[in-house]
Amino acid sequence: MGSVIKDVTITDDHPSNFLKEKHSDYIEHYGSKHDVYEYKMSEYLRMCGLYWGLTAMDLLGNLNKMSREDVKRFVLTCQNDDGGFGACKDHDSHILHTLSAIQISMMYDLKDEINVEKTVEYICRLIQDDGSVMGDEWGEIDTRFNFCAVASLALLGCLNKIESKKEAIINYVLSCMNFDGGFGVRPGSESHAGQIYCCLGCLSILGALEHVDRESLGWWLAERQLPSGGLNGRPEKLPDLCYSWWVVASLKIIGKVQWIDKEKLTRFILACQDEETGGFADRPGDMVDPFHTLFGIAGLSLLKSTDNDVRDVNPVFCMSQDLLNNLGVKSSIIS
Amino acid sequence: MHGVLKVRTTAEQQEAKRIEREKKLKKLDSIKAKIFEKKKNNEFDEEILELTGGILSSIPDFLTLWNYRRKAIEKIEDKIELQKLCENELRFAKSCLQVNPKSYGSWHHLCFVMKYMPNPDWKKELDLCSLYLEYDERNFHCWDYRRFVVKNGCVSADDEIEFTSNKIASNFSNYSSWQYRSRLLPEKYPDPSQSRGIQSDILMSELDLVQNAFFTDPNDQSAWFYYRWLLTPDSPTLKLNFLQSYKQGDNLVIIVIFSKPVNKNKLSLKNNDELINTNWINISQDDIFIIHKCQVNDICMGNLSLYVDDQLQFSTIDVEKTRNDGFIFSEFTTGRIELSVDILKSQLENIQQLHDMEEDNKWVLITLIFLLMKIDQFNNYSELVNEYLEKLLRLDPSRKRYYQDLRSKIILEFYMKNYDITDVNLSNKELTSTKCNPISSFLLAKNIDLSNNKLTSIDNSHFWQNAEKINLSGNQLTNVTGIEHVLKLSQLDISNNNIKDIDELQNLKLCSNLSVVNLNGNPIQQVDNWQELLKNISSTIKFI
Repeated sequence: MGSVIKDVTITDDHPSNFLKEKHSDYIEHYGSKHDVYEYKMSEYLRMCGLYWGLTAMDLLGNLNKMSREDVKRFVLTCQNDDGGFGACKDHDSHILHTLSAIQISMMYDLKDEINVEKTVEYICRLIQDDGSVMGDEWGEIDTRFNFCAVASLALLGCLNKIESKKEAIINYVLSCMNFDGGFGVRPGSESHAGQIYCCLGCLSILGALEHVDRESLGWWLAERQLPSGGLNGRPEKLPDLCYSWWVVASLKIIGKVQWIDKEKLTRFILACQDEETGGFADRPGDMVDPFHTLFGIAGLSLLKSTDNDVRDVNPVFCMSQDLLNNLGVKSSIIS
Repeated sequence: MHGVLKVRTTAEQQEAKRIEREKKLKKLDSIKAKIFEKKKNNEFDEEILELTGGILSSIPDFLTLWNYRRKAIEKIEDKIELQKLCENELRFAKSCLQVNPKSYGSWHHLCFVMKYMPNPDWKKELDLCSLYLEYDERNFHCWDYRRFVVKNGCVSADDEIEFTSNKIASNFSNYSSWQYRSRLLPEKYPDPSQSRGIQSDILMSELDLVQNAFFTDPNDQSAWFYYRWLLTPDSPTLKLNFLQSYKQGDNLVIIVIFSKPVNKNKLSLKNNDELINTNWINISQDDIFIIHKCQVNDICMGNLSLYVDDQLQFSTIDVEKTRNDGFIFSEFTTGRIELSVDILKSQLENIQQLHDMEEDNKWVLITLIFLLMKIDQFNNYSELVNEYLEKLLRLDPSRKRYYQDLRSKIILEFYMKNYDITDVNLSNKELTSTKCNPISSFLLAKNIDLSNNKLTSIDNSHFWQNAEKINLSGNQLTNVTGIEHVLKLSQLDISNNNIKDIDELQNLKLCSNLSVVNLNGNPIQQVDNWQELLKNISSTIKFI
């Protein structure tokens, strides 16, 4: 009963140069051409999608190609009376979209246009006494939401509003730590690279990385790399480009990024590009989308493997480092 | 979009697809318009269930629509009607999971309905989870739902342990099941005095089980990670490993190192039971929370006591001694409850047997190294460094740096144990990192020679608190970040490295005692005017 490693094969037919202009075109025209169906069907995640696209453009240094006015109008129509943001106009508020809306607002300097006070109240209402965080008023609990809440407040400069709950949030996140040093969705849930990123991000912003077992976790994360160079999110799973973000950002936060093979990973990321349309897919040869396009570009930025073609990304907020420097938003990273 | 292969289609096929999609979108738009209209009028009724159902069945992550369904459920007051409706909702959410088994919205709806309905059938849900996990034994949403059902339906930990045993028996490669056991066993069979907090007989049988797994399939990661965890004791108690205090100017300086990380905000000092105003700083960038330093005004008498979170850690920092020749306390202990050497040795025997059969298996090698280090790192030094780690570097080059760092640690610890602690010579050891245990090893060294290694950064300098002379020549440094922690430094040799940029040397000016820096053989010497530029960094440092 020997296990076969689940992986993909990369050949010379897969792209190996960074197609910067194509990606920029892909994002700029997303939703207006052949992918109009995908665009409309993904209305339920529009705000997050907008953040992916805009951040990708920002990292490419092409944010000026997007219409600030259109973005502003859209974001403002998505803020609900409860202070949170929905995915689209008329959609209910959710912490995922609230974080995205705030990230976009920071990119476009819209802080004075949105109702910050109400947003902060909305976020604080979702934080429970035990330190867990609900996604919305319907009570789903997930460590992704801990990151969303804390990152949102940090970006708005309002972390002081949760001073009394800080200890509880840290302890809750730590209660989700597992035998492998990783973190899951809730206490008892299996470790998953995406949740690990969220938990490390949350602890980084709250200045509590001392609790992380960096040796065990760093080793586990390094073992996500497969022979193709790509990374999976859990043991015995297929590689997926988005883990080039979740895993590498996590390694970066705990100061162990040198434990993976950067060249091989870069090769995998580049192979996920679509030479015709631009954009990145989850695996070489699959359909591209904005989500993987952002994490492909951000991954390359973290690895510093495209010379100066991509701007520096911050591993905690997944936003350009320059922008965060200008905003004075800080997070701790172990170097 | 995950796992959707890009396929080439003919123009005809494309056109047909376009028409079909247009139709779909039209339908979607008209249903949506009706739904939002009803929402406006606060009409959360049976029709809303039908309308939202039409969309959710193909887009199950449209969260707002699940919310509307819940609003409709909340409107029902009659218990029998509510029960019936909830049963329908469970059926509907499950049908959405057939479309997308990873839909967060559908899984959460199941939880909501089960909590809300008058007579939830937990047993049925548990059986459903078991069934789903037969199709996909790694679906973490399903495992999480299972844990939700277990908690609310009062399923015993015994039953769940048995469930994971059966899962593992049918397929050893089942990370989710091993992970679940790591939570269940300490809960069901607790013994805080034992390693991992699990009763020792249970721990032993667990070791047997997991060995069965990796003897069957030594390439499967799952069992190896779990095995490593079973063999790694946690460190429940915090220990003070090192304390140094000395006088500097008008102040007393105190440096402390702990067995595990502590946040600086939890540290305090008392003099005769009175809290002293101190500002602790993390000296390091890396082991940020293990080593701390503070300065206090030299006005105290008698002894100082160190507290962590109001717990006394050390009561007798002798102020008089501190003032004169300095005071040092050093005791290396991890505070861990280790497994007995007999147990470790019997484990090692088995792993060695597997290694004989599978000599090129990296997991076996990693585990072999791990056990040899635990049992007797110094006696096994040569095998570890020259044989096993060399081989791992060959077998698994992608994680080269991980193994090199591990090798560096073993080498350092081996040499440090015999060294004159004030004069450390570690040149030509192929080191990629200078991290080691006890981390206080470097603390008293006045001369540190790390020349001709493979260091790419100065990664442990916060422990070089007493170093005056440091030799880092012949490494691969591109900067001197970290050198600013070495406050007593007077001579630094960084010749034959890879320093290209003058700006990378700015940190040198933070070492106020530094008088000589050897820069020979660095690319920086090709920069125009480099000698002049260096003068701008510091006029008191002599650059060679």
